[in-house]
Order: sequence, then structure tokens, then C-alpha cells
Amino acid sequence: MTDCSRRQLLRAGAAAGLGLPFGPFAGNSLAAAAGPAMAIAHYRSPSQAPDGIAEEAKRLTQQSIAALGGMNRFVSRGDVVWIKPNIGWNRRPEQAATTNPDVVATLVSLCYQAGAKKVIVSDNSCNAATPSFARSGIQQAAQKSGADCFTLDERKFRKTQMNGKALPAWDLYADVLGVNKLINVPIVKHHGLCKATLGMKNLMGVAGGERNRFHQDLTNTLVDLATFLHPTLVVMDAVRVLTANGPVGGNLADVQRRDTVVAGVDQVAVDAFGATLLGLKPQDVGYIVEGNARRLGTINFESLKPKRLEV
Amino acid sequence: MARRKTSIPVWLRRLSQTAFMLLFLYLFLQAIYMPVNRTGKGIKLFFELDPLVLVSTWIGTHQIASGLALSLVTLGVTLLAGRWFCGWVCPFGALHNLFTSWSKATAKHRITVGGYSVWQKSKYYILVAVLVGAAFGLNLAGWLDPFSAFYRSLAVVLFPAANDTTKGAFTWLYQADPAVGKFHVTAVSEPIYEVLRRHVLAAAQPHYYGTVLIALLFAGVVLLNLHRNRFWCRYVCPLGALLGIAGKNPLVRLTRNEDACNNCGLCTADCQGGANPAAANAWKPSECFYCLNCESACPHDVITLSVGPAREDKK
Repeated sequence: MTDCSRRQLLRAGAAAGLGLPFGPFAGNSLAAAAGPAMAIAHYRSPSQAPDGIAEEAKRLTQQSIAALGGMNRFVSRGDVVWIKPNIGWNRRPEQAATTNPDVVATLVSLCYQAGAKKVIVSDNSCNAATPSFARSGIQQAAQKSGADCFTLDERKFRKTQMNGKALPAWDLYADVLGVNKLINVPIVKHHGLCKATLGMKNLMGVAGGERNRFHQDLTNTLVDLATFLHPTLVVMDAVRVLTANGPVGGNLADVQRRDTVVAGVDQVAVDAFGATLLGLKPQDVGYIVEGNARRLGTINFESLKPKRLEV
Repeated sequence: MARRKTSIPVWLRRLSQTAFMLLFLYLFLQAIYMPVNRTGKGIKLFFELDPLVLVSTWIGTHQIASGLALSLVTLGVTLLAGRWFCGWVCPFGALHNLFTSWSKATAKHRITVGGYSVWQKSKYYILVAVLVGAAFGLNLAGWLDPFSAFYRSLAVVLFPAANDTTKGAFTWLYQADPAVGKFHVTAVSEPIYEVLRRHVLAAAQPHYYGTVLIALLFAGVVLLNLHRNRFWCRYVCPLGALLGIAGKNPLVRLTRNEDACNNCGLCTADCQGGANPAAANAWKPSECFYCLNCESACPHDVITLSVGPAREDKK
């Protein structure tokens, strides 16, 4: 980060009353400051047919980004973009344990249309990576849209100073830290330990090492991670959500449709809205409260006046 | 005695061995559940071509998997033309061929030991043991069939070792990041590693119990080639024995122009199978791999391998 952008950032941060982000992508929130903070797109007439759902996911993604001002607001010509979906689990898209592949594919296309030089789609899976990438449908969909989508290289996790409350340092994937823009693309799910897994939890996919340790203090570790990485944009997939037995799921009876995609620059606000889709109060989720307390974002998403669209 | 340039048929034979070896290794890499519960195509090909598998499984189970019909082609070719399979196709044999060629033994020594030895009969006894074992439900073919032996060694010892070594080397390069002036080695090594990582190396390499035993067996068998040419093929291989029985009276025969022969013995020095190319009327077709080394090595064009009438059995 240059001194110039850091000064601008401090001014913007002080002015907006936001938390002071630092880390590889913090400078990008400057461009992100110009425009609506959040857009919630809901599908008017959802269908049960697979290509109907695919079309729905595509249009919800396109419209929510358009409502924020278009991908050009976030991605500059020549950028290398890392799209970070949830590819954590060896599950099919219908089981709603991983991000909807059509949401991911649409974002890849939008990034290229905005002039990105290269788009990488990847995640540090919890289940075996190779089958997870395939069974989730994300690898095929992303590659078809022209992204480089392959499992991570275990050599590339580098100990990174984060200066967090719970995480002074942790192994993070070096290639993610080297790109221009990071787009976080989580799916809304129930979580057995922290009630909901949303955007900030999804960032665990950039971390390596013994991540199980995070679960001893998810409230602080997740906010540390989210503060350090500070993605350029969060696009939250709530076409299908996992309402019980998350984060791994498996039972189709636990999957419900919400036919919604949320796009936003405020990680805490987007997560807060996501929690409501599971019938939770944002105040019930520890890391959302903590994120708000540390001024990383606001728990009161309505205060951002999110644009609501019926697609 | 000047050593002749290697003949074109021998180069063709080497090309054939290389091609089948690469095919074997390729099919080996295809036998992974990739990406989800599906292996590559044709991974059983070499086993389906193998008549020892056909015979031993039929004896043991009274059933024949349909794919094994391919092995009748191997048997048929061998019945008609001899043990070309051993010389031109078998990848395990090719491996032994390779190690044999690295032997530093003098030509004089190789002439002495290159000819037929009665110990070559041991593979026929091993074949009988395999088939009798099959009748009693003991799967010795799983140990002694050349493709089984090679595949197991690859899967349990060689590929994991190669995988770990390669990953270790490229991990060191990535982390240490050696540079000569402005040139970083990783500028070249990283693209190479990425290709290997995506297409060749195992995503999650399992490690096996019993690795040391298999490694010792493999190393032992391979090192024995320094003692005798293609040791496994001459003395151990039950598939070779089966093909040797089938190839007792082939249509492609070794003929000699005795008038031109000065008994230099060069034909025997490089003989792979121990088939006595130097001996008048004593060439053993059931031991000949048709490697064509004798024909290539002879300075006086004494030896020819060609189609000829079936010989009357002279005992």
C-alpha cells in the first residue's frame, strides 16, 4: 500500500465511521466507498427446474452487482482477481453446502467484462479438495467462464503477520495476498458451533495450517481474518440455504430456497442480513457483534439503506 | 572386431518398447478416482492382454472376464510368430532390458553367460506352481505375473517415492527461492511444477505398509539383470514360460549362413532371451524374444530372422 492511499483511506474511514482496515485489499475499499453499500436481489418467480435455478442465480448475481454500480466499480482493467467461493465440502450444488456454481460463473464473466486480466477461483477445502471442486460443480462452471480453477498448492501457505486479537499471525495462501482484488462469495448456512456460517467465516478458506484451532474462538479469529483480508466485495449466495446440520449438511430436507443474492462492501452488514435469512437475529451471532464492536462494519444493515430489487 | 551400428529393426523394437512403457505408465496414472468416483479409460488393458491372467483366473474361478478375450490375441500371435510380446511389448521386460544394457560386463563375459542355460527351465516350474496354486485358490499370479509385479512396485514404492521427491524438491525451490543475479530459478521451476501438479502428481499421496518389502523385491529383481541378461524374463517369469510353450514352433525363425560365420560370439553377447543364436541348429524359439540384437550385431550378416516353414521337431 502506498502512503497516498493510506492517507486517503484514513480520511475515508474517519469520515464514514468505518473501522480502519489494513492488509492486502484494504486500499480497494476506497473505490468501493463511491456508491451504494449493499444490494439485496430477490427472485420473483423461482422455478424448481435445474436450468430455471441456474438462470435465477445468474440474473440475481448480475442485477445485484448492477445495483451497486457495476463490476467496473470494483475491478479495474488489468486486475488479477481472486474469487473465493465456498468449495469446502464434497457435496452437490443441491445440497447447499457449497456456493452455487452459476453465481460463481456469472461473477467470473462480469470480472472479465470489466477488464480483468486473470480471474482465479479457488478455496482451501475441508473435505478432499479434488472431489469437492468437481462435485460442487464450481470447477467446471468457473473453467467454462474462463477462470483458472484448480485446487490449492499446499506449498504456498506462508506465515503472515496479521496483528489480530486472537491471531497475531497465521498461514495464509500466498497467491491470494498477491492479487489485486479479492471477492468473497459465501453461501448462507447453519453452523453447529457458531449458529451461522456466512461471509467472514468463508474467509477461513484463505487460511491453512491447523484451522480447527479457530473454532476455539470463532468470534475473534473470524473478525481478525476479515479485518486483515478485507475483501473488495462480498457476494452472498442465498439461492439455496442450509437451515440445519451445517456446515457440512448432506440431507436435502435441510435445504431451503431463499432465492436471494446479496452484494455489498460492508462484511458485517452483509453477514447480519444473511443471519436473518436463517431466522436468526444478528445480535445472536458472536462474530457479527464483534465485527460491529471493532468498527469493521455495521450490524445495522438497514442503516446502509440497501437497495432492494425484485428480479 | 568392430561393433556394428545398431540396425533399424532394433531401433524400431526400442521404439515399440518405449511406446508400450509410456502407455503402461499413462494407464497407471489414469487409475485414480478422478475427479469423482470415475477412473480413466482402458486402465486394465495390459492385464486383459495377459494370457497368464486368463488361464490362472479361469482355473481358480471357473470364470473368464470378457475383457480377457484380448489375451487370445497375444496367444495367437505367439503361436504363429513366437515371443514377440516379450521383446516388443512387455514393459516389465523393457525395464529389465534397460538395466541389462547398463551392465558394465565385458563382451567376453557376456558371450560366456549370454547363451542358453538349463536354469531357464525354472520359469516353467514356476508357471506350474502358479497354475497349481490357482487350482487351490492361491493367487500366486498376483505376485509373479510381470504386470502385477510392476504395477504393485509402481503403486506402492516407485510412484510415492517419485511423488514425494518431486514435491520435496519443488517445495525447497519455492521456499528457498534461489536466484542468480536477477534471475530466479522459480521463474522456470514454478510453471513446470504447476503442470506436474495438475496432470501427473498425486493430489494426496497415500503411503503403504509393506513398502520396504516390495521395494527390496523390486530392487533385487532389477539388480539381478547385472548378473544375467533379463534375469526375470529368463528364469522367473511365468507369463514368459506360458508364451514360451506357445511359441515352441513359430513361423518366424532364425536362420544362419554358417559359411559366413567366424564364431566371434557377438550375437550371443547381446542376446536377451538366452536362445542360442550362435549355435547351428540349436536356436531355441521358446526362449527367443525376437529382440533382433543378434541380427544387428553380427558383422558378417550370418543371422536372419524371417518367415520360414515350421521346423520338424528335432529333439
